Amino acid sequence: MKHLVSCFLLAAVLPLQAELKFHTPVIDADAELNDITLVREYKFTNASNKPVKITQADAGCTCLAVEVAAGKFTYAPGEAGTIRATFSLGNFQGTVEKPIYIWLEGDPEEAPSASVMLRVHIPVIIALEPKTVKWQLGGSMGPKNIDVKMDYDKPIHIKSVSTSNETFTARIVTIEEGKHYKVEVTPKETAAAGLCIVRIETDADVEKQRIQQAFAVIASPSKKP
Amino acid sequence: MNSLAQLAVVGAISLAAAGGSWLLRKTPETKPAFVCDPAVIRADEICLADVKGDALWVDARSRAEWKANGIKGSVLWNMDPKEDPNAMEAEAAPHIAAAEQVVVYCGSEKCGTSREVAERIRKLGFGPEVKTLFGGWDAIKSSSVAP
Repeated sequence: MKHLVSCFLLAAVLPLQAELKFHTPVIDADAELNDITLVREYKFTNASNKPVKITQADAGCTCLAVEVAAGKFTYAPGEAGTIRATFSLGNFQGTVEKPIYIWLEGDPEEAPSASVMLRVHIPVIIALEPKTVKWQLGGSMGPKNIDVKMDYDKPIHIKSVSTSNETFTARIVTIEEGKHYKVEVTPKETAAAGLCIVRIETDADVEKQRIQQAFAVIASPSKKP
Repeated sequence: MNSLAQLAVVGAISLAAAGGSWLLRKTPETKPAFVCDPAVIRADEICLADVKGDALWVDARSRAEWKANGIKGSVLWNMDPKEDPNAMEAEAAPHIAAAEQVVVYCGSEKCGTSREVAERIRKLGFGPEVKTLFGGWDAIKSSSVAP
């Protein structure tokens, strides 16, 4: 009797155990500047004692296509398989983390059995700091600087800067040619709240990052423009 | 105990477990309403019920989805490679600068794009509180906020 009940309880608990064991559940991937897509594979093994069927593998993002390699969805105990993730770099920059969820047969929609992570590092060749310069409404009109640093194997020059309205002027200050600049932004007055786009055009050969923009804002200390 | 009795005991346990499960789940064939517990969500997320009435909604889905059923007054900001990121940022900026609270939503609970967009909005440094909506569109579609 003891053996029978033990077997019964074991059978009840087994489905709660992890069924797919991923060899590398978190993958770090370095993208190249001109990459359009990036593909990585997650190898797994059915670590359970029964066949499992993958019913869905999804990242919940149109930027990441997920497929079970070779269209094989059912795996015997101990059998290995692969999930392939194709990330579209789109307008992403810097480090992007995307979870991928895997549902097995019987999983509720809100609770997939397994998940893995794709962490993509996309180079940022032009960095602005800060992204927004601010003045207080009715306050001082002194200039403020946006630091522009290039991180690329070739020099990148700022070709021009412009502002979207006449309340502000902007000029380029070269710190190190092709490497480091400041964009000095000055308001003509601070009597009215407002927001201006500062457009920075460079000669970078990476189209996605060639034009940068920052903002200049005049606002009351407690509220926005 | 003979085999028949053992089988009866196992059957009784199975029935009891199934009955308990049915009682706990009440009506298993009915999908539960979207639930958001503020105590368990991430610090950068917000439950739909806690969004302020004058919050600015930022739609991180595709332009087609936003046009089809985006929340009234929302602005579009996504990571679609077909979009011009500078133009999208420039169009959204005045609205964000004027808002007290900004809430970003994307297509589902597991969509991470809203987090990316929220991070970009925070980096603008305009000052409003920026949150991602827990549940994304799944939370919105069955609510009074839905268009």
